[in-house]
Amino acid sequence: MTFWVLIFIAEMLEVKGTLYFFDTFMEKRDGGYRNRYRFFVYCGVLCLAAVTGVWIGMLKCILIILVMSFLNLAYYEVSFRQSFLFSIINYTMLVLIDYVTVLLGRGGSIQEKWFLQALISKTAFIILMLFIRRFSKTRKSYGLITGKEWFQFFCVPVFTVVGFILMFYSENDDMQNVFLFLSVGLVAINLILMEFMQNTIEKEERIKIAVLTEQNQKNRIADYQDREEIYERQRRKMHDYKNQLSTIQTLIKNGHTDEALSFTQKLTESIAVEMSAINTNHPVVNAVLNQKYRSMQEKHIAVILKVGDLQEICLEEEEIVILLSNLLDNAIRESEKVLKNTGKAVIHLKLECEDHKLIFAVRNPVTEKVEIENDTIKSKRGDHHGIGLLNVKAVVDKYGGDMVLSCDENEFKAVVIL
Amino acid sequence: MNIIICDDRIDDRKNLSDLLSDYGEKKNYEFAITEYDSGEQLCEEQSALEACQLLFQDINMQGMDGLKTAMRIKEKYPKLPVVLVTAYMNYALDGYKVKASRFLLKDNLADTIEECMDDLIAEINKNCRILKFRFVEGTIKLYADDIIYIETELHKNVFYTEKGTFQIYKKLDELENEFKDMGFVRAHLSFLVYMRYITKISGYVMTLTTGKKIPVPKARYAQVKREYMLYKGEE
Repeated sequence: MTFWVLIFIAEMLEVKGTLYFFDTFMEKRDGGYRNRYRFFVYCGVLCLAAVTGVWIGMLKCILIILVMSFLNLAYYEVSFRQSFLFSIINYTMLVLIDYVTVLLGRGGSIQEKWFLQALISKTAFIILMLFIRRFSKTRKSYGLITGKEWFQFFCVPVFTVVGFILMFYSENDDMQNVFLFLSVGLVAINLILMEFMQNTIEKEERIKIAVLTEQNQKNRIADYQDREEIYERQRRKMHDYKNQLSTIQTLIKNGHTDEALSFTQKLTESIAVEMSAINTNHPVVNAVLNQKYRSMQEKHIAVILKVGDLQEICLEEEEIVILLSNLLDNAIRESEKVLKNTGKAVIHLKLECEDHKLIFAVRNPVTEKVEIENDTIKSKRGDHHGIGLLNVKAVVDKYGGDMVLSCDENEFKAVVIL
Repeated sequence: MNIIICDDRIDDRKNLSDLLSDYGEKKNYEFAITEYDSGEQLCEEQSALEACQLLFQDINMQGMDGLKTAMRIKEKYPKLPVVLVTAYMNYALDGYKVKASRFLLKDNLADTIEECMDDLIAEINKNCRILKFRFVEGTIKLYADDIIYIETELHKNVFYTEKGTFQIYKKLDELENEFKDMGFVRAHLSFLVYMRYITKISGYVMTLTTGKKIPVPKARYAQVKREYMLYKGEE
């Protein structure tokens, strides 16, 4: 009985690492009910595959890989080919680590204690998976965990392995028991920590998505307000026109043709000013830029523009909104503060395509120097601001572009090249 | 500094001229402002254009419109900075096609003129600064934007410029210091490049408009790219 329980524990550790590996590279399928028991399904099925069919010999590894591949099809959004490939990689790593552990333990007291050997190799496997996860770029959300936090997460499994090793090389039986007790405790802590880390990441990801949705909604609302305002202004204009037309009529009736002419000229010009808008040959960019431009005008923030023909840019609508509104909103917010203090604020805006590359640069005055580290703001304003820029960074990364932030006592600069 | 204002509306000319004079007084610059009320007339005035260092051009004019005028002048004097002034935002895109240095709106001229002039004067000073060097070939005067890049070859540094190549006995560190804040970047221990001539930086290689490829060491790469992006953002 003890044998089977120990086998199952070893298998659980192995499955934990395996799932970390798969989660890193494959997209999980939706379904709370199904995913809730995922861990145990993997444990059960793989345990069965491990203990049955010993007579096949070496061919058993193919059986296990196939079982894993089919299981993945049920839990991840992947093709069989992908699933098969990742299963092979995962299995190869497992076997390699097992092999290395056996090699290292050869000759020592470790050889007789298969379970401890399994514990060491499985924990090492989990550490390796964590490393892969840390440095893998496919799942961006792991960027939410800082280097220091990763170090903390890694500490416990490393100590566990040290504990195991001490146990194998200690001669004293009592000491071995103490180390065994410590090590098993540490393994448990490992698992709890990993679960905790997973939850933190998922929570951060949910917050990020929520903020993004909120931002989109805000943009949409601002757009409606903008339209409503234009409509209201038009209504007022129509009312004015009635008066203006009757003025022209009176002027003509009284024979003041020259006055009537100059009056109509002025009117046409004022209409042209009213209808004027930034034009970049791209409807979405125009919509966002004009909305922000009007908001700057209302706040008496001056703008120096350099815009080009953006017909050929191939960003998604939502991405354009994220890129432009986040950086422009930041600039407007800072400029408002400067305006309050000095009575004057100018935003420089450059947006053009050069050699098939989009260059977007915003320069705005600041009241105090903004601390920047690795092209991210060390935010004092809370998470919202930081997440806005994280979203910009996500768009920039998606297109393999670059973003640079810089700030001195007077001016903040943000440059994005895609 | 010689400035030309070309606008067919006398009120607008006066407004801009007053704003410029105020700015000059405040910052202690001497401006000689000449006003023109038609594009045709301005295009005829070759000597005035040759002496001119900055042109403010209204877009919406009777007769030859401002864009056409600016385009014709730019063809002949590509380095002359032209600021398009207009009441209508719709022209911003056309201004880009004319390669205008700036685009100002009449309704917020008073707010933007100071910032715009600060930038333009800095740019003009940078481009017009004559640099005198004692080359092996003799003493030669160069503008900063004549220089494409400088490369260390044995004990000399070679200037690759639009006017040819010149050699100088001076350390690249000293030259880098002399060209500080003028748009140059040290791409490599033995290369100093004027950023205007860079077309792209990728895969640890910098490509220039001339087709020349310069390797950028891994240790410098991030910094070089960063400087180039900030330069592009302000250009």
